[in-house]
Amino acid sequence: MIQENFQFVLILAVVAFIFPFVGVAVAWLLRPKKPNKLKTTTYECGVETVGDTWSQFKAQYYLFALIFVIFDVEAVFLFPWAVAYNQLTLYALVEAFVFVGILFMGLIYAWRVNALEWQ
Amino acid sequence: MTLPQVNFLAILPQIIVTATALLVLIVDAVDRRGAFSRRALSWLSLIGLLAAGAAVVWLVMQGGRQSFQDMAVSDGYSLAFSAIILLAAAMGVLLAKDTVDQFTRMPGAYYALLLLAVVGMMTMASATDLIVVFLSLEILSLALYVLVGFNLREPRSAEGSLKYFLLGAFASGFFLYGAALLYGASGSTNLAQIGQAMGAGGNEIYLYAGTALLVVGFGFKVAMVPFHMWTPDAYQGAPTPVTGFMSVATKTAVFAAFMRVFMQALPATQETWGWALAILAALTMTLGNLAALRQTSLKRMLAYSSIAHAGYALVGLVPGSAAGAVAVLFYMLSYALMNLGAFAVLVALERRGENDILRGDMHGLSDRRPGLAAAMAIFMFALAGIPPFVGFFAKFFIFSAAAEAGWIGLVVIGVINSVISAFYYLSVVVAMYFRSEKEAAPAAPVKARKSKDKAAPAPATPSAPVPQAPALATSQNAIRLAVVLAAIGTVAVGLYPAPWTAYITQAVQSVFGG
Amino acid sequence: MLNYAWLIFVPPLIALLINIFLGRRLGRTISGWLGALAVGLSFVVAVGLYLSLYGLPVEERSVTVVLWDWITIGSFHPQIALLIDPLSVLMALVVTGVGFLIHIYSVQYMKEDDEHHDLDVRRYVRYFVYVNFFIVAMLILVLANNFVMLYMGWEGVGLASFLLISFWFYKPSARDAGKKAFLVNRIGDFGMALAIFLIFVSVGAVAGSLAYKDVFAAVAANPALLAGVAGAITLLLLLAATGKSAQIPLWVWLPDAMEGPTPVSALIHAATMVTAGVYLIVRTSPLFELAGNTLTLVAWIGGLTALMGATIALTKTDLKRILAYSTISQLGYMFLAVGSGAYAAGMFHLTTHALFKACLFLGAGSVMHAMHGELDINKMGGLRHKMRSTYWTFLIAAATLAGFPIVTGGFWSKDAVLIGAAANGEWILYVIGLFTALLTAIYSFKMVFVVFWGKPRDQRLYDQAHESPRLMTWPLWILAILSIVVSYLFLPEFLPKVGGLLAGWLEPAVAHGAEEAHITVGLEIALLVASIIVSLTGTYLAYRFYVQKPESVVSLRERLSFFHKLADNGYYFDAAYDWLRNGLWVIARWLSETFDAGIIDRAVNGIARGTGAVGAWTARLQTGLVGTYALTLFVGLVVVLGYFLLTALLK
Repeated sequence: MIQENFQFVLILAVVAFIFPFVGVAVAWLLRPKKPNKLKTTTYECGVETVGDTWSQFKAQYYLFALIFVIFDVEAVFLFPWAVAYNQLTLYALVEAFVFVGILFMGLIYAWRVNALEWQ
Repeated sequence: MTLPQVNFLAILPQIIVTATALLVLIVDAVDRRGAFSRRALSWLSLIGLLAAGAAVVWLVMQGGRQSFQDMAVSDGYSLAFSAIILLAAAMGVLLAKDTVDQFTRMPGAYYALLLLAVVGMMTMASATDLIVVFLSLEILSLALYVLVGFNLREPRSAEGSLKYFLLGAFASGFFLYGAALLYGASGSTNLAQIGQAMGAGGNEIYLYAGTALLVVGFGFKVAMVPFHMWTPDAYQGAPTPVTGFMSVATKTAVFAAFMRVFMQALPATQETWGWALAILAALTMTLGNLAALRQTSLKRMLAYSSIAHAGYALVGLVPGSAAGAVAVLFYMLSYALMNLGAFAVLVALERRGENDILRGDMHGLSDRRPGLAAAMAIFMFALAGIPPFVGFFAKFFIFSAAAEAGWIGLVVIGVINSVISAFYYLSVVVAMYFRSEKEAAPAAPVKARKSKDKAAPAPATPSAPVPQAPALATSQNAIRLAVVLAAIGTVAVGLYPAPWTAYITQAVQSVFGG
Repeated sequence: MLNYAWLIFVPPLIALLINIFLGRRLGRTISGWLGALAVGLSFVVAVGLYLSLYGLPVEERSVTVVLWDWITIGSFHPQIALLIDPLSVLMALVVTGVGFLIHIYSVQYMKEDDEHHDLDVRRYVRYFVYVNFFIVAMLILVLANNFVMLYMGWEGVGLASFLLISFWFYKPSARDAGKKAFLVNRIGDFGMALAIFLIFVSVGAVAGSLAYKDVFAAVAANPALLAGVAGAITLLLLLAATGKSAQIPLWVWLPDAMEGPTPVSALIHAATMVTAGVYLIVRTSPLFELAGNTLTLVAWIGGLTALMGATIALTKTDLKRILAYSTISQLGYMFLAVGSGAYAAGMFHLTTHALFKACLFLGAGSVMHAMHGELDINKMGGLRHKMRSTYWTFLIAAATLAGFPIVTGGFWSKDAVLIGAAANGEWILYVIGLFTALLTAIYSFKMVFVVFWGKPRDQRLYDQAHESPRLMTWPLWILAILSIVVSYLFLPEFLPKVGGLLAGWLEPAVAHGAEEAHITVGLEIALLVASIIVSLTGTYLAYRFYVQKPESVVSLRERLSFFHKLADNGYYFDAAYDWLRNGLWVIARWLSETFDAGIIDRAVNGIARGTGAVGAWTARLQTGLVGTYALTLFVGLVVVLGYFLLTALLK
């Protein structure tokens, strides 16, 4: 039954929740404690950061990534359609065109509002 | 291999609105700087909404139940909710028609997002499957996140949007988790099948945990205490037409799904969730009303008042009876009329670059704009639940449905709350009718006091009367139309509720029996 | 015709809406006339209703016009419907007829109201919006066929009254007066709401609605339904009536209500709204008949109020205040009549009073304009030479108020009231009523003599005085003539052919006592003669005090005490005045002001402050930090989830 399968998931979840605490707790109990200034810094190695770490990314990156994702997903959806193309009815063909058409409109909009230009 | 035969009739209104949204986007994109699209976009959206409304009416006349793959249906219940959502959307378009250019340079995106939110909401009202509920929840939420942050010149708008988005994503996660648990308990995501499986006795822990998570998920969207924290910030930050639209339409859609899920899939745990919702409803009403008492910003006051109204509506859901569902549906109708009317008045009064109305701004309104003041008085009386306006019967049905099922204590709390609420609604009326404009000047310190509410850092208000900014709306006609329509509805449905309740009763009974 | 009874609401509603939205653009004249003519059209409809009702056989003269089904809640099925019967039509005629004339008067009056310089066009328009709203609400009140609509109308007229009393809200006294009227009326409305609730609980299920007809039929079929609550219901209704009609103990608001514009005093606080209490008792008379003791109480309240009102009126020197106390006193007469079971007499007096008191108030307004807002009668005098129309109409109306024998309507209606009390065997009340009639005659003619006769007491004011324009004098003339002419419709029953018209007209609408007390024609004529003597005596006394010996005000008192030694009753008059002022009046003031302001206000303020503080605390929870929000959400989730899981585990 489904419920029984889920019970394993529940047990696993509980174990997974407890496990890291146990590990950290054991380490905390066993380890020697001799802190110094260097040891208590966040990062013990690497280059010291310069300036504000909260630097801003250009919003354009996100825009491009989003548009890319749209067409990526489009390809994923069209793939099974293309594979089964031979057995499909006219109805399915029209459906696919509607689907592509809607995404196409999105592309037109993105283009017209200058989202495709790197400013 | 053939694809299954699909009944597109069941989602005809959604298709029409989607097509309109795309058309709006394309017209806006093709005609970027044209004078044509500026005017045409709102009309186009309005026509699309009217067409969808016609489709809804046509489907109602067809009668019966159209099912889309058992995922979504079009029945009397969903159509009634859809009609209210379309009404709210039409008001949202009317209110934005002459103001949208003042808060954004992308009117096309505004209308398109509003229409897409409507698609999500209508789908939500007709969903009969948890997956579709979640899907439509996300459709409407994504559109609303953007709409709330649409006013780029207003930092509070972005703030509200971000808060809404972050917390909303959180809540969506809970909802999805709850749906998954219910699937685990019953082996189906279809509401009717979950109901059957649970009636036969399923896994209790998953069922109860899933129910709890769904309460949280839905509760967040209807602004139920303690999941309401986003509401004042988002409502105040959002452009006022958006606030009006989302306060009404989102609630309507989510209550439709809330009731369908809980009454169809989860009657087995009614006793438990009934109590939970009763306590939450009492909290929601009380907190919403008490917090609204102290607000000087009318948008924020209406935001808290909308929390309180969500509480009243929840009272109707508590007994899980058909009578309660009828009451909630009627409540949503009346809330749409009176609340959108109030927001329409706010839009009419708004000035460029302010995005808010303070109570002091209402002083002497009866002298400056007597019609607007009279309409606002009607809306305030209706919201306070004073007969013969529509809000009275809305509350009456809710409370009598709860009382019938034996929730007397809850009803008492509700009645006390509506007395408290009369204080702040009537204070607006007093400001409009018994304060002259001259008295608005000493009210300036009151404006400054608003910053106590830390979420809303007040813009520095000069104490001396400054020359007022021009009105936000370039023309008042569309807004006037919206105000008049809402006022007529508020009065007419209040005076003659019989046909509406008759239809609503029939619609609800066709789904829930009783 | 009767099916179109709803048309009576339409003109004022349309005028009101037009004035709200377009009033400012229409300007004073058009918007004023619009409001006035709308009421005129309503009056035409009311006349039509009267005629078509008159065309029906007597037993069919009670028609319910269903406008629509309001709502259905189980077996409870209230309708929005109008009850057209002789009683409601009579009230509608009074409201629209007198209302129409007062509206016309107002068109001019409000324009000339130079006492208030910043009366700009918006306030002018707003005045007509308010009074039209009042007419609509009052018509709902009198034409309603059920208690719920009655209540809506009741609240509506209260709201209109409040708005109009504090019409000049920049005057603190007007604001206070509005507040006082609102507070005192709230006590009455509380009684009303409670009474309706009691009726609903005890009879509603059986009757199936709150329509008068259904309720009375259910009660008549099974009086046991009201067992134990009949007294409570009627007492609560009486409380409501005393509030609206300014009777003991809730009369204190009416004198202050004179802060409103004078036509408002005429329309709302004399002719129509304040009579709603009388109408309420007549309308619910089948219930009162079941609780006989309450009716006696009504009669006593009426009698005492009449006496006290008259004595106070006698001592006042402010023209509008005299009229206000006179109104209270006359309303007391009406209560006396209905309390004695003489409903027709009560309605008769209500009708004549509406006519002559409206005329008096409008006349006072005319004088007030002429005297630049001065209302102290001791600064007037001799005005009859300057204001002929105002003088003659005021004289006629005052004579009617005084019950000047035979020719005036006031004589016959007051006599009907007194005979009603006598027929009921309440001889003490009869004597009180008769004595009050004497006082009434004195103060009525005192007004006429002091204001219009003699020599000017303030030469400067007198020189500036002038007659009002025709638009204001014509309504005066019509009202004055009507207050004489209409009376002949209401002659007593023993006169052949012309007698008892109103009683017969009202027959189908009012309840009948178990056995109607009748008195012989001989006794009735004797009582009539007594009334004549009293009225003439009063007139003579007024003439003697205020004309024959027009000495200074200081010596007037001496003359009064001197007169007491000669003519017996004069001292009581003065003493009653002092006693009232220092005794009852102080108690009443204490009740209304100390109690209201001190206890109720403090309680209300305390509650408001308390909730405000809690509100501030809840607002502080809203920190604006998204982290806090998320934490709240999460805590909420944990609590909800915990509750559900706990339930699941405990099951």
